Amino acid sequence: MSSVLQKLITPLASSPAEPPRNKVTVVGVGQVGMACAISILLRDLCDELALVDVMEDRLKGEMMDLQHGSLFLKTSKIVADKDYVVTANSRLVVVTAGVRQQEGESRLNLVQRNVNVFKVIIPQIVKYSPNCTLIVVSNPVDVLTYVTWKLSGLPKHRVIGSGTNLDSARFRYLMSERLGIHASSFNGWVLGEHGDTSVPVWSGANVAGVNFQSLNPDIGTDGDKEQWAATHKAVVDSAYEVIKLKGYTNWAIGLSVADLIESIVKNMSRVHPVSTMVKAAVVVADSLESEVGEMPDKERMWRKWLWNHNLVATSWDCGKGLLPFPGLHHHPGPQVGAEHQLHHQEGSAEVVLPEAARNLTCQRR
Amino acid sequence: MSTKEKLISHVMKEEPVGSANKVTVVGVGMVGMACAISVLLKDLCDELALVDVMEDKLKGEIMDLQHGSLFLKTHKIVADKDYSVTANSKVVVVTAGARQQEGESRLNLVQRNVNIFKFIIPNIVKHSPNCIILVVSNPVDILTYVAWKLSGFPRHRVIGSGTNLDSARFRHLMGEKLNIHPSSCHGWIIGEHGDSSVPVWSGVNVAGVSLQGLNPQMGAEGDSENWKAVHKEVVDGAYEVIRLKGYTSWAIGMSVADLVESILKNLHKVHPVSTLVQVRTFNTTCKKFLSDTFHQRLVACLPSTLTFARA
Repeated sequence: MSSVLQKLITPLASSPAEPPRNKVTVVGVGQVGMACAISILLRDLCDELALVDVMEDRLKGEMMDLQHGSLFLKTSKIVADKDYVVTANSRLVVVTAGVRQQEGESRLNLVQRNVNVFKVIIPQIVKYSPNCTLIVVSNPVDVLTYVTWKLSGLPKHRVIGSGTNLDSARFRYLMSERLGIHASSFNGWVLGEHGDTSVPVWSGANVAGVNFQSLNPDIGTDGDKEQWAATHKAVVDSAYEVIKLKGYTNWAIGLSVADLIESIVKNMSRVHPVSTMVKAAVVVADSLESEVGEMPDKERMWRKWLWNHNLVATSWDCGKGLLPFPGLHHHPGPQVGAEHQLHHQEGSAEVVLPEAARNLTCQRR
Repeated sequence: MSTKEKLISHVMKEEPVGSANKVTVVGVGMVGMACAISVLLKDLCDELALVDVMEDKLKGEIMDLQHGSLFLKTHKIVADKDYSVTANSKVVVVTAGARQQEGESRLNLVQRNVNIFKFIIPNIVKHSPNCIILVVSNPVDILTYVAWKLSGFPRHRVIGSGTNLDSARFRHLMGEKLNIHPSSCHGWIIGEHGDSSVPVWSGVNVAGVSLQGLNPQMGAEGDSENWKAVHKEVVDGAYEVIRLKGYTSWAIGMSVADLVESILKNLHKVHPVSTLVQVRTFNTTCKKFLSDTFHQRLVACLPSTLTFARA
């Protein structure tokens, strides 16, 4: 007796199942991982979503919960497994696995533990998705992005960290609240380390092209009567504040990651502040343009890389003892972490921006 | 002159306009926050208010959502323990209350949640006398009735999320079985949201082709394809997820956002929800009014003819 399916549907052609075109994997189904997952799903960014974690029950529960909502989604396949084979052929892999900050703890404290976790995760990801782009979210994100790049052996344009995309979003929100406008109408960038030593680029802050610094030359300095620097401080403190209140942060970082993924999947050529590899260099006006020109074109989304060298030294000093990893091949290139390459002025933070560097005024945190 | 004054000069005095499509979520637990993020990501409201008794958690959640404002199109996200923050809402989603522990039936939660509602519902009504109350807390059918009684609202303005989620789960499982997207599989689950929900096998169809017409045994004991197991999996689904991860959140959040969308956009969609109906006398062909169409003001009931193999 033929089944309902056979009576209902007569196939016109039989072909093997199509491989996914925009598969996204999320590693880690904690609060951050699931916030990333739900944001990706509700923005219709992928045709297949894979979840991986070591906690099998939690993983299965989360997968089922998402699948039960599949009527409301446009992602037809949601899979999950402890085994990384389920992540095969991903276009993007978001890594949120690892330990998170406790109340009052700095992100840098998490390095060693998370490096150990990554030594297990990254090779497996690369094994099943050798052509993917890796987005690292786990903290401290800048250090772990470097670690991931080393462990994966992928070219440097395919390993990025969520970086200061979230800090910039928080900055734009808090600044625009003071002005009574929507966050997207305020343009301002926070660069450098995602965390305590991030740098707000006051010279670039503007609304509709009207430069803030030209309206208020003291902006961001101690002498500023309106204390705009306090807004940046609120950005730095905000993560600690939210952790103190509810134990963790997830919604904002989830939305921020989905924003990055949208740019990549849709090949939008948007500009985002993320953690990436740059050649440590002296501060020159247009140093990065040439850097950018070397990058293969296909997957590249952002045109300007910005990295604060002084901050990099801070982050990587604590990471230096962990590198290099014996037996892993890596691309010859910047001797990241080598002090001699980090030319910087004492006591100041530099940010390298194409074209605008000459006019840059950066303050020490 | 401050920087702000130098930057922006007002063309006219700014008068507060108030929000046109405000949604309130009562309760910022896992379900409440899943509802909130689903509503935000679907761009359904211009203002979102959150209420709860746990002040720290409430403040933490509101800050976390506000930090994502750049990526959203809901400019005003507010929260407070005080219900005045919910004033003038169009829809109030009530997720507050105790939830099922592992293995616990939803019906066990009645008394505790009724007590909580005695505090919540009058507060909601006081500040949003024209809103629609959408009850999610379990047991949802009973609590919808309780909310209706406590609110004094006409019956078309108090609804429960009902079997909207059960039907979504059923359509997902049906889609898996047939390898079709859930939105192309049609099947309705009605009655109690929970252990005694009823799958309407006669209505199950794909593109108008009735599956029971293809398989007359569908849903019955003798069915070789065991479609009855699909419904059982729907009923057990929630217990399974709770056993695995401690609670359910994403599916109910998306289901609620689906209902809120229909209400706010006046879509005239048909959803299976908990509402007050008059049940006619039972005879051989049982007529039960269970599905409802939505108008922002008016709720109409659709007759649903059920031929029961057993009640």
